Amino acid sequence: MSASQNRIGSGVNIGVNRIGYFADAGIDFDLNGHQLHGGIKFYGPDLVFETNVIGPSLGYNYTFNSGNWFFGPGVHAAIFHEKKTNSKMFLSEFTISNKFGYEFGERISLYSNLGLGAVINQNSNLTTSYRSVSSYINYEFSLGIIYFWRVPADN
Amino acid sequence: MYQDTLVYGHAGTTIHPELWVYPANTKESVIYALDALGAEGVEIDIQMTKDSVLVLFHDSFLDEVSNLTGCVPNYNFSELTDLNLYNSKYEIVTLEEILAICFERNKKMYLDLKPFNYCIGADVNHQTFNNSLNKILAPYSTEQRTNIVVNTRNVELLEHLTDSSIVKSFETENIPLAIEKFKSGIIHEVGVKLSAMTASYADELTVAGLNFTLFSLKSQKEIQKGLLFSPMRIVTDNIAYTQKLIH
Repeated sequence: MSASQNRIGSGVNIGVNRIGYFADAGIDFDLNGHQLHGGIKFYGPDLVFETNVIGPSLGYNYTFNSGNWFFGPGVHAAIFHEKKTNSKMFLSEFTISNKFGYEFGERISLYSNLGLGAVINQNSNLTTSYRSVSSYINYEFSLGIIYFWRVPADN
Repeated sequence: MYQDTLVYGHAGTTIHPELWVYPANTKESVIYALDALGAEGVEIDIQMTKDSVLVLFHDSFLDEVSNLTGCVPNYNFSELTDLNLYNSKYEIVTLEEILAICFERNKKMYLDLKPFNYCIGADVNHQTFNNSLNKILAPYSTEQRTNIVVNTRNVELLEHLTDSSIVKSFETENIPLAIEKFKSGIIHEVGVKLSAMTASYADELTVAGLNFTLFSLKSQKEIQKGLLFSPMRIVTDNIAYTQKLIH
């Protein structure tokens, strides 16, 4: 399996970071090893969010292959908004990550992902409109699968 | 059932390092709890320095979390400002500064007073403690000061506190003793660990008209259990999850 291929697929990855447990599902484009992801990221209520929260996510990885194994450094970002009981939060997360995985033929890709990045919260108090910004380091781990439903052999 | 329970972040946001966004009892942790997570208030740990400055610090000895040895009451405040707290950039902060942060946001405070100096095996001077507290409360109105709870295991310290607007809370597992102190007019509320609370104690407190605060609630299960007792206040290590259950 080489990096010279154009594929389109759907994928999901599930993991955990300092915000909580998450799931990210979307469309993945593999253009000669340049992988683009566009999807929706979901967090359940826990340490940060009071409710189920979804937000758009974008990502890019460049994959290096060795046989059916691959690794792919990249960057990812997602944003969220939540109106809480007493405050509003606008959360953005930026992550530098590395995928490590295995290709089962042309269509199925399984991977693990390790990321390190930052979270920036813009907060406002609902009763006083007091605003502040907080930021902290984030790290995450996830497992994912992509099914490429359009591969070069389909053309 | 417990919609009226007030949610306070523990030591700002949380006392547990594995859950930290910011370290416990720091200015950043307090602001994050109030602004980002929307807690109604914060629980913070208060000790007094050698020169009578009230600061936020939880541990009995400085060695446990910093580059200094000994105890907070053995140092002047100026000697603590360069403290390498938790091997990080975070600094020890005064109660005076946190009061200003909380009141400008119309938030409440639960002050866990720790007067015992483990280095000498005795309390700091209670009258001096009272004077230091009164000095920093003086700029605030009576109404603002009613949003402050002072909690301690040391009833003698509570008896030395002369501000009549603050709420005095006795921390104990001995509920009959707490009710006795309440009926004597010495305390207004009681603070109880979740592990010590039972349905029958909660009933006794309700019958006596004694409001209580529950603390040591970290896991989701503990928070669910704690809220079933309908406390007036809950000191939680997971503000967002607690707010989700209440609202």
